[in-house]
This record gives sequence, C-alpha cells and structure tokens, in this order.
Amino acid sequence: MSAFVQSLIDACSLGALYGLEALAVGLLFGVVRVANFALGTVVTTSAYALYAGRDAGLAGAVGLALVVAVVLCLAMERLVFRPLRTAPVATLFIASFAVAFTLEKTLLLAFGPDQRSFVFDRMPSGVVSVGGYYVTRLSLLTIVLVGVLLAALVGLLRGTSFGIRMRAASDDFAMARLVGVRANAVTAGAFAITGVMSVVVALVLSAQVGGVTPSLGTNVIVFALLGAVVGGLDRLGGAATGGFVVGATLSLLSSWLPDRLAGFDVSFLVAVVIALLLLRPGGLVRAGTMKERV
Amino acid sequence: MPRRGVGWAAVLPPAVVPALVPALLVAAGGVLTAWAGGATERAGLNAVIYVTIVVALSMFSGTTGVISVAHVGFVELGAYLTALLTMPVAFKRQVMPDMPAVLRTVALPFPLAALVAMAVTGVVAAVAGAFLMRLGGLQSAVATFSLLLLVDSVVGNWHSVTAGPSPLVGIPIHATTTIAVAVALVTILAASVLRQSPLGLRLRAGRDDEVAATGSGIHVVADRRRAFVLSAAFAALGGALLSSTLGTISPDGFGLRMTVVVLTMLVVGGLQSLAGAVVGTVVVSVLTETLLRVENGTTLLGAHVKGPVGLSDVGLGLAFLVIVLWRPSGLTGGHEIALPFGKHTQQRKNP
Amino acid sequence: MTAATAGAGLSVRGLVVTYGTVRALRGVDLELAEGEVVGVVGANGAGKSSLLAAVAGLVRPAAGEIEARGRRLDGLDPERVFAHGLCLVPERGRPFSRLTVEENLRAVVVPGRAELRRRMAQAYEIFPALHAVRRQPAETLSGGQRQQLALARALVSQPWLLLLDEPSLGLSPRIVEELFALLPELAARGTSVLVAEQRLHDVLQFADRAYALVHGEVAREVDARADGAEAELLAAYFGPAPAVPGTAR
Repeated sequence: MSAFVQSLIDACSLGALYGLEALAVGLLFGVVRVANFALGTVVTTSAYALYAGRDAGLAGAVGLALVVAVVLCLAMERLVFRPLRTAPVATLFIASFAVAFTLEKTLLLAFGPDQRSFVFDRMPSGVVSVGGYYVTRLSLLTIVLVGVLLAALVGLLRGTSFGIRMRAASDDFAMARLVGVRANAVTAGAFAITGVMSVVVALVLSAQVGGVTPSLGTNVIVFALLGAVVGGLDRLGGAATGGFVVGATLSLLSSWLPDRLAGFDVSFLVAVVIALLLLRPGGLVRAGTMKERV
Repeated sequence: MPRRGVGWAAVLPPAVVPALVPALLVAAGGVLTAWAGGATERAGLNAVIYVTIVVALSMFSGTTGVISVAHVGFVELGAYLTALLTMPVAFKRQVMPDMPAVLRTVALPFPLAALVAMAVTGVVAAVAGAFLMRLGGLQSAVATFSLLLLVDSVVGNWHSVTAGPSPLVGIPIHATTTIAVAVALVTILAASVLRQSPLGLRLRAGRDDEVAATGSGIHVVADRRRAFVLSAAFAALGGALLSSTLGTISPDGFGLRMTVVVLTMLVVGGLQSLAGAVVGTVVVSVLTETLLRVENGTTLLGAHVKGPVGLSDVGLGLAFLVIVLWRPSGLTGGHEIALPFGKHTQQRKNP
Repeated sequence: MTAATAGAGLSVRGLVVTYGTVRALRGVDLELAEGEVVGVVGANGAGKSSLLAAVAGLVRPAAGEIEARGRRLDGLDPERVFAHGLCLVPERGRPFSRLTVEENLRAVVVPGRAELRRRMAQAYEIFPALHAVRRQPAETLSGGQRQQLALARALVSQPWLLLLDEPSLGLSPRIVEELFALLPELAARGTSVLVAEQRLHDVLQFADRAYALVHGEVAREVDARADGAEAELLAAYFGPAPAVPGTAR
C-alpha cells in the first residue's frame, strides 16, 4: 500500500512537470499556432546554462538560464516562426522539429555527448517522511514549483492587460490586432513565457539526472506535446491536464508494469495516445467540437 | 509528326515520362560512385537507398500534401523484418533462443524476405491508415509521429526478437549497389505511374482543393489510405535494402534522426514533385557526405580541414530551415524536370 | 454630395484587392467626411467586406491608396491602422468567445487604466444589457448581445471612424433597428461610420450617403436623403431595368 502511495506521489511529480511543459506548448500554440517541438531543446539549453552558471550559486545560475532561455526563444520566433506566420500548422510543426534537431546537434557540437554533472547545494535531495510515506524532496519541490508557476501564470493571464490581450490573441489573432493588440509583441511575449517555464523544467530535470546531456529535454517535449494534443491544444487547462495525465501514466506504468513487459511503458502510453487522438481528436477536455472536415 | 529527338520520348507511355530524369540521375550517380569505389561508393549506395525511402514517402506526402512523420517507422519495420527473415536458422537459434518460433525457424532468400516485409508493413499501414487518414493538420502530424514512436519503442525494447536497443548483428548481406539502384529505379517508376494513374490524379486534386475534390465525388480519405499503404510498403523496401547492405542495424539509426534526414531531403527538393524527391535526396546526400568528411578531416582545395563532430547534422538541420524559409516549394519548385529536347516532354510539368 | 476635404476624413482611391486570381475590388474610389455616416451596399460577394478589410489593414491592397486624416494607411498592419483611430467590427462581431464580456473590453488597447475604466463605464451605459452579463464568457451570449459586445468593444477604443461589416447579419429585425438607431447618435458625438450592408432600405434610413458596389466596382453613389435614392441604388444593383421594390432585402 505504501509503495503505491509513494508511486502516486512520484506520478504526480512527473505529471506536474510534463503538465507544465504541456502548458507551455498549449500557450504558444494558442497564440501562434506553433506546436513547438524545439521547446525540448530550450529545456536542454537552459540546463546547460545552469551548468555554466553553477559557480554563481543557484540564484545566479537560474538568472543566467532565464536570460539564455528567453533570448533563445525570442531568436527562434524572430528568425524562424515569424517569417512562417502564414504557413500551415503541420509545416510549422515540422519546422520546429528541424529547429530542435539543429539546436540539439549544436549543443552536441559544443559540449560533446557526455553528461556534464552538477548539483546545487540548495536544491533539495534525499527523502522525507510525509504521514508515514517516504517521498523524495525533489518530487515535493517539483509539485510546489509547478503550483507556484501555475498560479503566477493564471494571475498574468487573467489579471493583467498583457495577459488578457494574449488570451484575446489566442482566441482570435486577427481580431485582436483589430483592437490594437500588437501581433509581434504578443507573439514575442508568448515565446518568452515558454522560455521561463522551460527553465523551471530544466532545473528539476537536471536535478533528477544530476547533470545535463544534449538530449535531456527530448523526452519531456515528446510527452508534453502528446499530452497537450490529447488534452486539447485549444484550451490551456486541457493541454496542462493532458500533459499531467501522460506524465503520471508514464510514471505509474514504469513502476507497476510486470517485469516481462518492463521497457514497454512508452509503447503502451503511445498506443493509448493514438487511440485517444482517434476517439477524441478535439481533445479530452473539450470533446466533440472539432470541425468535421468537409 | 514528331521531329528528330522527340521520337523516342513520344513513344513512351506518358505515365513513365516524369520518371526519366530522376531515373537517369540515380543510375548515373550509382555508376559514378561505384566507379570511384571505396568511401564514395558507400556514400553513393547510401544515397541510392535514401532515394527509395524518400520517393516512397513522396508517394504519399507528395501526392496528398499531408506530411507523414510515420514513414521512418515503416522503414524500421521493413529493415528489422528483412533482417530477421534472412538470418540463418542456426544463427538465430544460437544467438536469440527466445525468439518466437515463426521467426526462429524460417530463413528466406532476400527478395522473398523483402516482399514479406513490404506486405506486413503494408498491412500495418492499412490498419493504422484506416484511422489516421481521418485526421487533419496537426492531429495528423502528431498521430503519425506517435506511430513512429510506437514502432521505435517496440523495436527498442523487444529484446528477445530485435536485440532491444543494442545493434542487431549478423544480417546476411545480399543487396549490392546494382540491386539498390535497380530497386530505386523500380520505386521511381512506380511513383511515376501512381502519379499519372486515376488514383494519383484524384489524390492531387484532393491535395490542391480538398473541398472541391470531395464535391466532385472523390473519396479523399479512402484514396489517401491507398496511397499510404503503397508508400509504406515501398518505405519498408527501403528498409530491407538498408539492413541487407549494412549487415547491422540498431534503433538509433532510425527514429527522430532519420526522420529529420528524410523530411529534409523531401523538403529541399520540393515536396510536390517526383523530381523533387530525387533531387533533394541527391543534394542533401552530397551536402552531408561533404560535411561528414570535413568532420573526419579531409583535404579540400589543397588545404587540410577538420571540423567538429556533429557538423553534418547541424548542416542538415540548417539546410531544412533555409529551404523552408526562403524556398518553401523546394529546389525544383515542385515541378518535374523535362528532358532538354522536344515539346512532348516539356508539357510534362506538374502544376 | 459632401466630398471630404483634403486631409480630413477617409479617402479611398483606385483600390484593388485580389485573392489569388480573383479580383474582389477593381479600383474603388470612396470619400467620407468626418461626422458622416456612409453606407456601402451591394449583393453578397460584391466586395463590401474586402473594402472594409482593406481599410482596416486586414488585407493588403494590390493597388490604390487609402488615406485617413491625411495619413496613408494602405500597407499598414491592422494594429497600426487601429492606432490611427479606425476600428473595424467584422461580420458577426467576432467577440473573443472564451473571454468574459469585461475581458473583451479590457483587451482593447487604451492609454491608461483610468481611461479604460471610464470608457468601459460609458460602454455599459450605452449597452446596459452587457453590464448584467459582464462576468460571462462571450460564447454564452445571444447573437444580439454578441453584436452589442463587438460594438461596445470598438467604442472603448473611441475611434473617429467606425467600420461596420454587415451588423444586421443573423439578428432579429427589432435588434437590428436598435443597433442602427445608435449610428446617428454616434455620428452626432463625432464618430464617423462606414457601414457595409445588404439591407439597402435600412442603410438609407440613417446614412448620409451610400455607395452601391457591384462586382468590385462602385456602380452608383447617392445622397441618402434625396428622393428616389433607393430606386437609384436598386437600379445600380439590377441594371437599368425597372426594379421591383423590396426584392433587394
């Protein structure tokens, strides 16, 4: 029983992390129609920035990572996705694939394939007993961090003019421009926010692994993207929920799959994802309203 | 009456004409690289196999305009099936005793194994396609991507059959450059015939204006599924060539990396035409091979150059982005390439 | 006929808009003086929406000039055109459906928070029904309310020129009447209106002048208050043959 509760908490932690990344995917997709596969490499790059700034302490390293991630996201927007603004959604997705590939290989070129290890003293480690169950401190921190970030994001999106305009643009981009919302500003803003979110993901992931490799962020983006699409890219709540469900399921599968099937956790998950895509192409959360193709 | 130079082109069935220039290109490339021998021959062989794979993908994506991210999964399937079917029984019994009896107790000659691989992959594509073809836009891209992940993760974890993530070794090498070139030519011919067939014309009508095509009684979804199955089968054939020329395959060689390679080739040449698939494959192959040599250190124009490891991959990604940003219809602009004589062939351009 | 004086109002000259090979507008000239309500009438596909979209910056004209208050607008992005004091209410209003009514109004770019609050209060004064539902998502509103919200949203920006595209579309006659009655009121407060409509008769009730668009060209320009204006526009619709009144509806 206690093992089950512990695996549930771990599942929540992984789910929270993937949910956060899926939320980033959904946020960006809502505004600019880019299902950005390259967000995974933004996570990786942020982790390398954390590594580069490790001597400056946790705060310094996070500061550096924030700058790097936001600049990278803005550059991506300006150089690739802004010129492609009118391209079909599938083309944008494939283009983001190529961006991810190019960036990952550039990181490989710069840092080599081996793990660069680093640990921050102030990042929590070890386990803690909560009501009789042993949970890793990192899992708890992940849940707290994601919660805080979610609250901040909701505050931004509902409480500030910028946030409301961003949601307006996400609802109807052309109409938002007709009431004065500057397309470039809101697009750049959305990209920048996904950069900030990626730094949090990078912080947790690199602490889990104890360092960074050029493919650190690949798994996160794959599952966050699947989760976001399954949950419904059109609604932020849907995307985040989808990411959470995918992450939590993956975590539960890897702890509870019988030995004979161990390793097939991803296969099962992807099979479920494909099934859900076919049954509810419009997303889990808001089903049935996807436009039928003529 | 046709004048001098037109005569022989005019007697060809029109369905074959778009295949002429791509076929000549592949044949010439195969012969030239084989003549050069050594590393160049290997690079040429690799490029010829990629022609089969990319042309196979273009049978679907080029005619429907729908990008499939699943095809490398089909290549992987074809490669592993061919490998497992051609390996000697004794070898399998010794090295992989846990393999299901169906696979463990048979060893087929390469052509038969390749055909079986094509058929099985075609069935997989038919089943998947029954559902996938109903999706559009991003859902379709993500669903095909999921299919790739599914194949990749099954192959990468089914230790008793595929050796899991480690390389599968000891695959008998049957395919030579000549065979690879012949297969590529057959694939190009098949793609050309498909494009000019009633099915191909309906598909292209659906690509250019889905609403209008549906309005004129075309079952776009059913037609796309047919193209999907055909193109998956030929992708598996490309995989069969890979395993039967390399002798060793591992899941790393497929997956995301090969997907980027294949999509880059298709996009660089031009998604919409057969010529684009072949030109893109040739151009990207030459580019990556050159960069790969710089990576390993080589003499260029009298100077010794050695670039950092990973250069060719970065170049590959950049090539994709440059084309998508500045020439989205690809180097061929989506047109077929006509032979430089006679009116007949000049009319064979694709809109 | 009151032609706009140079430097004031809106002036459209030789406007051409093409979509691929289709020419939606083939050289349209149009003038609007400040304080005027001008109608653009025409059948479906005559180019009314294209004209408004081009003025608002949504589509880039292939040729021609758009000048407002002495500034060239053609080729500007929609948000720049908006900054010059023009605001388009597109067909069916297109309120931001997942935002609440209040958020719809807050999304409009307005200088300063206090100013925004003041203008929102004004908008609620004009449309009291919206105030009651201000916390509801726009997608839950009725068709009439959605059109009201779209208009309110445009008014929050306090444009000097309001561009209305088919405001009557899909609404009941009573609501349409209410909506149209508002326009002269707006004009009296100094907001000019350029309204595209299929309902010829209604347009003539409140507009100062009207243009008839036929196949992307101005077929006729009439003074709405002159006798026989409706017959003249109808003639432009259907050619010179005697028209049957009411068929244009």
